[in-house]
Amino acid sequence: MDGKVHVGNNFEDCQVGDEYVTTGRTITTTDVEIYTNYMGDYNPLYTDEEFAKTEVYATRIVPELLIYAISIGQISRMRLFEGTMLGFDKIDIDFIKPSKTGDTITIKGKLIEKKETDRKEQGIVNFNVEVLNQRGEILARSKQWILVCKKTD
Amino acid sequence: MQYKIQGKYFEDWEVGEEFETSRRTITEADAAFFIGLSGDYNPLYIDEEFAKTTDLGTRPPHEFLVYSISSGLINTTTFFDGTLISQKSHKLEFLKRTLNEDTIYVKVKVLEKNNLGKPDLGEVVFDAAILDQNDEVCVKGKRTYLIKKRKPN
Repeated sequence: MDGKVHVGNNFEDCQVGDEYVTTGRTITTTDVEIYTNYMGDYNPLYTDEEFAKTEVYATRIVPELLIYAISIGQISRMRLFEGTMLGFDKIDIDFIKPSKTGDTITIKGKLIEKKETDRKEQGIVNFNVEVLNQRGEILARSKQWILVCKKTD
Repeated sequence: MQYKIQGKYFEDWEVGEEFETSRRTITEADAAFFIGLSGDYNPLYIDEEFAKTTDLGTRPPHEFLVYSISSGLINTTTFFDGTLISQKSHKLEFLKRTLNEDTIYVKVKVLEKNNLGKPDLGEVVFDAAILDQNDEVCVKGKRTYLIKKRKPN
């Protein structure tokens, strides 16, 4: 066994304008419980139904960062950068609309820019990434800057 | 049953105000748990043999796990209990890899407050840097939260 894995796209394979759409994933109360318990993010907005009933959304909402964590997983399942991704450089996220458990999210991405870095063996690809619910409403708009390997000779 | 709000209202925050969270050591268990929750099975995070061939030489915990844990640390201050309306936006820049067994904490500073001209809520922008046990900044972050205003008497 060596270090080789299925190889996704290298920097050279990526073209501005490339797009993807992920499969859906339904966010369950279990997801929320696991997330809040593990992160220690027990804000009553996410964990206290009696409190949440009296608030604007009238029920508990899904922690915003959980929606985004699941979105990252959904994108990863497309195996676009398997074995070629070196990590995230930056992420900007605007949350537009709250989400409730039972919502099913899909993620749409579009490559908007490619950038060189000061290291010649890697580059940065910048995607516009939108998280949508089952009604096609945008839950979050974001940008991801991903460090990707270049091809080796 | 009445919930007693412990968090700080919009009026309670002052520009320039700072606080630090408690600390948390990131463990391999945390890393594995996050892979399962998010579904991000990129070999970068889960395949040690592959990871040995990378610059880092080992599997790091997921960047977004580190960020999510920082959110939990911020929440445990209780400053946002019952007064947070939503996490409107996050800007993250990953400067240094966090590794398993690193201990992180968050330094938070209020950058600006926007009244938004609304009677019930305003916007507070926080600089929230994640630091490790060597007090080096691992993640630079900017969080914009919508926070309740006090009800007029």
